[in-house]
Amino acid sequence: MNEQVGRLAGHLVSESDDLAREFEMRLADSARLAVRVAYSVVRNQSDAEDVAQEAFVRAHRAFRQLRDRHRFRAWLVRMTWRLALDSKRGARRRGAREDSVARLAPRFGNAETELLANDRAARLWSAIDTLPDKLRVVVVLAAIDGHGTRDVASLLAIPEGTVKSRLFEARQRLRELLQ
Amino acid sequence: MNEEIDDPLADLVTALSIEPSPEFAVNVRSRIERAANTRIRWWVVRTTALAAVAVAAVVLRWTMPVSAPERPGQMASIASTTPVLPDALSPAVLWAPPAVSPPVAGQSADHVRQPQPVRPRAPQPEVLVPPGQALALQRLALALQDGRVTIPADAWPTIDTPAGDADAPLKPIEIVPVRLDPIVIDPQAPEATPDQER
Repeated sequence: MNEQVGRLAGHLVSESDDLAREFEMRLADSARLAVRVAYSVVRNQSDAEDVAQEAFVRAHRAFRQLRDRHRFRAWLVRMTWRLALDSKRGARRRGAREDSVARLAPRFGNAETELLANDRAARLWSAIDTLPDKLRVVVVLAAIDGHGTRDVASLLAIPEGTVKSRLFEARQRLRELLQ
Repeated sequence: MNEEIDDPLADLVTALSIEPSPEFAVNVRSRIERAANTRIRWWVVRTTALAAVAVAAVVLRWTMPVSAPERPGQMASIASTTPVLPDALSPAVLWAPPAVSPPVAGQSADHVRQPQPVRPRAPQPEVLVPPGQALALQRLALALQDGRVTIPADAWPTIDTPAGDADAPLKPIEIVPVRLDPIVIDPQAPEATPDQER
């Protein structure tokens, strides 16, 4: 009897250790993805990190069901996107405080370059904001970590063909808007 | 041609090239720990509250006297030992005098309390009376037994009995037979049709 209890306790402890170790791996592996996805919506580094951290906390709560890496990343992207949208709505209510960090050129460039880059960034983000949600998320994910269409399809749990067509449509619209 | 328009995705890649801060993982861990502590605290508070409610319910159940709620239409069943008053709603109930004899004026209460020989009594009807009235009757009976209340002898109701000897044998009832005249049928009379009969 004692042996069985000891074995069961040992099994639980080792399982708990395994879970903690796996979660640490996922955290190291997907932190950048979560922060970038959040940033594409909230446009503020601090808010983006806050949203990504909250997404990881929720992921930890449901980690037993999310042990598979692909499943975890897909779940994390969707959760982060949703939380970021909520956070942005809340921030709008409190008064917008979007970052001026969204620069396309390094900050240590000269003032003129930085100004131009800021202008381009502002135009790009406003163009992206006009896209419908389903196109926007595809464009953003395609621009993160060099994701291909297959990766985006896997993250959004949609067919690859759908990703291709949405990406094409999003590019067309962005071109039109930026002309 | 404008590079920006050529491939807006390239600009987006640059715009999204941000890195999480070095303390990102530490912050996530501390938030997870905080969330777990909060969950544990809530669990403890909830369990304690539930236990307190359960204990309070048990204590209340033990300390509160169990009494049936009195409803206006509720009637109590009174045993036949209680004096029964004639009730307008139950005319069939007869007046049954109490077991104690009415104290005579001038006699002390001790005289009344002297033990009386127990006589077997005929079963009396069980009457339903409202609880309040039953209580009043019981108190009256006790007061009469203790001699706290005296009723003059002439105030006791009397039952009218028919005059004459009650032990006299009953006379047989004479039933007069009913006589009916025979029906005479006249053959000359026209036959009545069903419509005419109506």
